[in-house]
Amino acid sequence: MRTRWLVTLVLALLPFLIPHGVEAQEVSLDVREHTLKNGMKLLIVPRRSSFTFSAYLRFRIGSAKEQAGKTGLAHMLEHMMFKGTRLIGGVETAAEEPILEKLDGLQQELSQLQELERSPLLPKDPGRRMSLEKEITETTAMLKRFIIPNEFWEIYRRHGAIGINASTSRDGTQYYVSLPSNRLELWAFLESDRMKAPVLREFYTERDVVREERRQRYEANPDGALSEALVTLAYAAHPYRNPVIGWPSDVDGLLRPDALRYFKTFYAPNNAVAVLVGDLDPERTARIIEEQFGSIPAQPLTELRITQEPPQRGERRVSVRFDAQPRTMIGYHIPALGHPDTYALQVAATIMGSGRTSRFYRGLIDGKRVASNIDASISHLRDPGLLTISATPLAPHTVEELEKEIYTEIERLKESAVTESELQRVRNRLEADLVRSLRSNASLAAHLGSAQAMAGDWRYLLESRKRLKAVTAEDVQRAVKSYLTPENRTVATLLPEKPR
Amino acid sequence: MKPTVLKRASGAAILIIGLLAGQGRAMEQQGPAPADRRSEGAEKIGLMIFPPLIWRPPSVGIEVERRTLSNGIILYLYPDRTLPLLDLVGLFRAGRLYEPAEKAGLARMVASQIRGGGTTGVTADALNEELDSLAASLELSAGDEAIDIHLNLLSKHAQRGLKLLADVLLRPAFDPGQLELARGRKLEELRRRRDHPAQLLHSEFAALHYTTQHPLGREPNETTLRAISRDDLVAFHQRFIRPDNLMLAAAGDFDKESLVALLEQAFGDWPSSGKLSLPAIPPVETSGKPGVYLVDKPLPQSSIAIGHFGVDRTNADRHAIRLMNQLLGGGAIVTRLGQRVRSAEGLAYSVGSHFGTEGPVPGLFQVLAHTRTDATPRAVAAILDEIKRIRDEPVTGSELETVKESLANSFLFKFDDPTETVRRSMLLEFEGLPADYYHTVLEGYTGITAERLQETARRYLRPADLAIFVVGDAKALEPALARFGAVKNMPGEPLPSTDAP
Repeated sequence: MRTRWLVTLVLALLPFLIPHGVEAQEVSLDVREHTLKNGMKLLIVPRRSSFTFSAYLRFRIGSAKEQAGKTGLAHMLEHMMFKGTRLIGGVETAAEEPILEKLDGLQQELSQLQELERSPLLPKDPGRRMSLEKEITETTAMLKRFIIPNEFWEIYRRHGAIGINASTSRDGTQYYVSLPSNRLELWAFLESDRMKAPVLREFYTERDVVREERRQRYEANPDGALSEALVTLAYAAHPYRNPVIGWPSDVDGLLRPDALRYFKTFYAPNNAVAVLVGDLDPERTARIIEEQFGSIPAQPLTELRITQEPPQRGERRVSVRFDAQPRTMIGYHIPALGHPDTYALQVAATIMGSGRTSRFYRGLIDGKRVASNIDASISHLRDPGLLTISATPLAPHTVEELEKEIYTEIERLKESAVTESELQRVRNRLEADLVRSLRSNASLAAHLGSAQAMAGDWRYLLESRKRLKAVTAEDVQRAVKSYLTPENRTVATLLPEKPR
Repeated sequence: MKPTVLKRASGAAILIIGLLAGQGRAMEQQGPAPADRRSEGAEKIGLMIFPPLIWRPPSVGIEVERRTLSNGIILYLYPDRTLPLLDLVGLFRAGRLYEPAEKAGLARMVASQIRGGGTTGVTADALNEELDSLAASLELSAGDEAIDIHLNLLSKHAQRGLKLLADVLLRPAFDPGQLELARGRKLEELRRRRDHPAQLLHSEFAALHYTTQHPLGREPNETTLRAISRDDLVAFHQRFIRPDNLMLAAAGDFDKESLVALLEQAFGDWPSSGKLSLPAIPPVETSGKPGVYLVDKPLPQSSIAIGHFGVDRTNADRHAIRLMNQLLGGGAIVTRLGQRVRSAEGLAYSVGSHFGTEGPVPGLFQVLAHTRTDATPRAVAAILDEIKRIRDEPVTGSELETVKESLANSFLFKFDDPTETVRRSMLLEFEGLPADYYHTVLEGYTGITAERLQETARRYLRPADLAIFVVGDAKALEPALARFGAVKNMPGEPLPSTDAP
C-alpha cells in the first residue's frame, strides 16, 4: 500500500470580507489517504472523541447505468448484498448452488412466459405456467434448509453495530455502519467478504420486499408520486428519467443472474471508496484493510456511454391524480455538478427557498400568504441535474395562483441583483454547515466519501464551498436568467382524485 | 488533540472507575455466545478476539456538571471543545398534556409563537434576519409533556445567541399577524392530514385509544385552532414559561464558568412570580379497544397498526418489556416480525413494533406494517400469529443472546454525541429517574431469562385487547378483513372535542 500523503488542513476563511456575523473559522480535518494495490481508495480520519467508528463504503455505480428493462437492478443488488455470501448466511453452500441455479432457470422461464402473455394476440400456455409456479414453490422450499436467515445483520447487531444501512442513487451505491472501535476487524471481514463472494439468497422474495418499498415511497405517498412524475417528464432521453427503485414491471422480472452480472461488472475494488472515521489507529487500520480487501482483484472498468439529454425546447407539464390535496413541483434543467454555473444556481436556490429569510418565505408564506410551504434545491448529480422548487398552497389560494407567484419572484431575481446581505447569509451558513457536518463520524464519512467518489478528490468538499462563497450577485442574476426560463421548466402538479 | 468526549480507559479513568465501584460500573464488551446454527463465516468471527473496551457512561458530578442558576434554572454542562459549536437544549414542563380540550393545539401554537412571533423589542422578521446572519438555529417545539428548546450556533456567537434566546423566552410579543400566519398554516396541515397514510394511521390509532376524554386523544380541529387567541398564548406563557420550570443542557465549545456567567447575564433578572403550579396530568383509561377498524383510502398499499395500551415509565417490568419488544419487532430486521413478514414472506418493506414505556402516562403498543392490498389479511394474520407465538413459546437462547448483546455492545452509541449525552442527564432528572440510571440499566437486561421474557409477553401482550387498524382500499379490504371480526368503518377525520368534559 502506498500512503500518498498525510494532510492536516486548516481552513482559514476570509475574515476580512465579513462585516457582520461569522468571522474566521478554523477547522482541522486530518484525512489519511491511501490507495490499495488493487486500486481501492481508502480515507481514514482518526478522531478519538468516542469509542466508536463509522464506515462508509461506496461504489461508483448507480441506477443511471442500468439497461432498458432492468431498471431497479442497482437498488435490488444493494438489498441483496445483505443476504449472505459463501461464508455468511448459509450452510452447505456447495449443495445449495445447483438448486439456486435451478430456481434461476425456472424464474427466467416464468419471466419469458409473462413477457409473451402480455400481448392479448399471442397464445397462452396456462398449463405450463401453473406447473412452473408449482416447481418454483417447491424449489424455493428446498432452499430453506441452507439459509441462516439474516445472519449478516445478526452478526453486526450482536457486535453492537448501529446505523446498518445502504442507499442507491443515480450515480452511486453506498453501505453504512457504525461500530464500537474494537470491532474494526469485524467490519473489514464482513465487508470484504461480501465484495468477494455474495450468494444473493432469497432473491425472489426480496423482489417482493422492494415492490413494497416502491409502493410505500412512490405509490402510496403523494410526494413520491409527484417527484417521480416530474423527473420522468423532465428527462426525455437521459436514464435519470427512470426511478432508482425501478419501474414495477422491471422489478418483477429481475433475476439473480442479472444482479450477479451487475455485481461482477461494477463492484470492483478499483471502483470503490472506503471511508473510516473515528477512534482508529490509522496505520493499523490501513494494514487490516489491506489484509482483508487487498486480495480482491482489480478489473478493467469500461465507461458505459449514457444517453445525454437534448436541450428542452418548451415547457412540459404533467398532472398526477392522487387522494391528497394539491401541491406542485417545478424543475429546471441545470448543468452537471462542477460546472461553474451550478455554484451560482445553488446560491440562487438557497436565497429563494431556504429558511425564514428566503425570498419565498418572506414573499409567499409570510408576505402574500399564498403558500404554506415552499423550498428550492439543486440536485448533485454527475450529469446535468435539476433545480427543483416544491410548493404547497395555502387555502383558499390555488396551486395555479401559487405557481404564478413563484414565477413573479423568479422574475424579480432576473430584474435586480440579490443583496449583499442575502449573499452574506448564504456564505455564513455554508461555513456553519461545514462545521456541523463534521459533528458525527457517520456524517463526516459520508461527506468525504461522496466528494471522493463524485469529484475524484475528497477536497471537493472544501473546494465547492470556496466556489460557492465566491459567487457574486451578478453570477446569481446571470444564472437565473439563463436557466430559470419557461422553456427550460417542467411542472408537475398533484390534483385530488375525482370522487369515486 | 482536543479533550475527548468520553474519559478513555487510561490510568486516570480506571482509577475513577475503581473509586466509584458502587455508582459507575465499568462495562466490558463481550463476544457473542454460540448461536444454534452458524455459518462457516460466523465460526471464523467467533474465533476473533476483540480487545476489551473498558468505559462507562459519563456521570453527573464527574464529566457532566449540574448547577442551579440564581433564579432556579437547572443547568447541565458538558464541555467538548472538538468543534467550535455550542449546542443548548432545554425543557419546560408544558406540553399537550396540559392543554384544555377546547383549545387543542395550544401548546404547539405557544412554542411556534415564542420563536416566531417576535419580541417586545425586535420584530419577527428582524429576529429571523439576525439568527440567519449568525447562521444560528433556534427552534422550539411542543411535545406531550414538554416544550423543547434547541439553540445551535458557532461558539463565538454564544453571547449574542443566548441574549436572543432570553429575549425570545422572556419577552415574546406574540405578534397577532404572525399568529394568524401560524394558524393558517396549521389549518392547511389539518386539511392535509389524510394525505399521508402513515400519518393518518398514527393519529387515528392514538385517537381511538386515548379518546377525546384525554389530551393525547385530542387532535386540534378547525374549531379548537380558531378558538386559540393571543390572550391564551400570553396566559400559557405566564403559567409555564418560567425559570423554576426550566432545565437547560449545554454541550460543545465553552468554558463552564464563562457560560454560566453568560447565562446569568441573559437570564439572571428573570424572576419567578409566586409558586409554580402545574395542572395534574389526566389519568388514562387503559381498557382495550379490540376490533377491526378501517379508514378508506384508495391506494395500492394498506397501512396497518395492531396493538393496545402499553405502560408508563414507573412500570417495574419495563426492562423486560423493552427486551421483549426488541425481539418481537423493535430492532432492525433481525426480529421475529422482520424475519417473518419481510424476509421470509416478502409482505412488507417496513414492519416493526413499538411498546410505549417512556411516558408519564401509559403509551401504546403497536405493530406497524405496510403491505399491498391483496396481501393485507395475510400480513395481519402473520402479525397476530407472532404476537401469539411470543406468548405461547419460550424464545430461544440465541434470540435472547442476540438482543442482549446488541443492547450491551451498542450501548456506548447512546453517549457518542455530546449533546445527546448531556440531554440524557437532564432527561433523567426531568423524568424522575435516578442519576445512576445508565450505570445500572444494562444489569436490568442481563438477568432476564427466556422464562421471564415469556411471562412478560403473557402479561403485557393481550390478544383480546388488540385493535386491528387499517388505512387502505376499503372496497377490497372490508370483505377481506371480516375474518378478523366485524369491520368498523372510520371516518378518518378528527373528532370534535366539544363532547369532552
